[in-house]
Amino acid sequence: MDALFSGLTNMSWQQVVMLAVGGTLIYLAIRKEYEPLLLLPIGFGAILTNIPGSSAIGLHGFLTILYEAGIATELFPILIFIGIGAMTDFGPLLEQPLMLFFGAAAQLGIFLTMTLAVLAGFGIHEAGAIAIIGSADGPTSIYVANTLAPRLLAPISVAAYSYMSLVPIIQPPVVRALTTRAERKIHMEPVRAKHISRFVRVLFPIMVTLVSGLIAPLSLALVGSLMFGNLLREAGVVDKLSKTAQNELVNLVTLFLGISIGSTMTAEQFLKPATLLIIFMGLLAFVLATAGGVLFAKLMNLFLKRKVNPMVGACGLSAFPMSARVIHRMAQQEDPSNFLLMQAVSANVAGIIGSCIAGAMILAMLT
Amino acid sequence: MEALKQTLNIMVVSMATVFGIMSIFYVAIRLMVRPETEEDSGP
Repeated sequence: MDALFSGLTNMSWQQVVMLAVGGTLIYLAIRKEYEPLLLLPIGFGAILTNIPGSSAIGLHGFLTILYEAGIATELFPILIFIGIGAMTDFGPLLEQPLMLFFGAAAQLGIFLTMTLAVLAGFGIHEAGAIAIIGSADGPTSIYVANTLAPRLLAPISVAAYSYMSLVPIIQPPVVRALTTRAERKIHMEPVRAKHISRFVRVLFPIMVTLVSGLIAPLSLALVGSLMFGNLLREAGVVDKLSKTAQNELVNLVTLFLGISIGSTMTAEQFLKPATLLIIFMGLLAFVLATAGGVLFAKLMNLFLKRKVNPMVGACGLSAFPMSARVIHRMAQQEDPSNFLLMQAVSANVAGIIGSCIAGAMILAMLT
Repeated sequence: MEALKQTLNIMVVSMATVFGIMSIFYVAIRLMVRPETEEDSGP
């Protein structure tokens, strides 16, 4: 009989707050459609975790089992990357390889935030885990945070996915502040949709894996799984595997990943002043990453004969395809005849590769 | 101070590596994908 109503009688105010946090995430997912695929399971996981005596957590709780199997082992982010690779068309990037450099430049935000986090009093491992939010890449953020600062995994994951959904609000003011109207109106050379041969499309993921692996072996888990997924897509002989990776695999793992992260949102782990600071640092990381890309594009324009629209630099984040859409829309607002979508998509997919390598570099330097 | 120095060191090495790897990709793609000529683009 004691077990009955124990959830009610043993409830602390901190757990009530966490139930409200879980409810807010569910509200944002359903009502505002902010990354609903992740925020909804995370929010419900938080509710399941914060009811006293919950059988969902603990030694035999299914959330704990899922966490141990997929997050602690870092299996879920890797599996999601296979799905992302299978969904990503690197064709636009192969047509405009110059955009690769924006995928590198935007990673500056990660390292600037890491420096600021150290100045704010975080340990260097925690700073690295927080700064990776600036990659705008959920699986990479989880992968790096789980290795460097597992106790910060919950706020980092929530911040990463929340800000990814807020890209249309975060990026435009930063881009406007750093560019002139004339720069925002720059037309770029149209993509001629050259025929990229199947040979090149198949060779690209293998080449990226080999180069990244030989230079930074720690990047292989992330880059390798991303490129394996892309190879499934481009090979043309394993359509069933490619479609499974794009749909069933990624959906199933996203479900498990979200609810497992929610299970880490316990009151004692989440309700700390540091959580607010992490959420602020995450925003700063997004702003600095956007600024890094835009400023690098302006720097490139000093040397290029055919100027690039500096707004495209903001797409070097991994928030695909949200960032590309936002920048294309901004260009259209300035000049309805300016079509930047293909260039923006190219920079955006470069950002996916760049964020994996940057995450691996942080791990390589700190572990 | 030591942590700050280490962070700046990580920033320099990591950004150099990311740009270095991207430069290799750039050269490789340039070699793999032939730039389109005027004749290719047609009338």
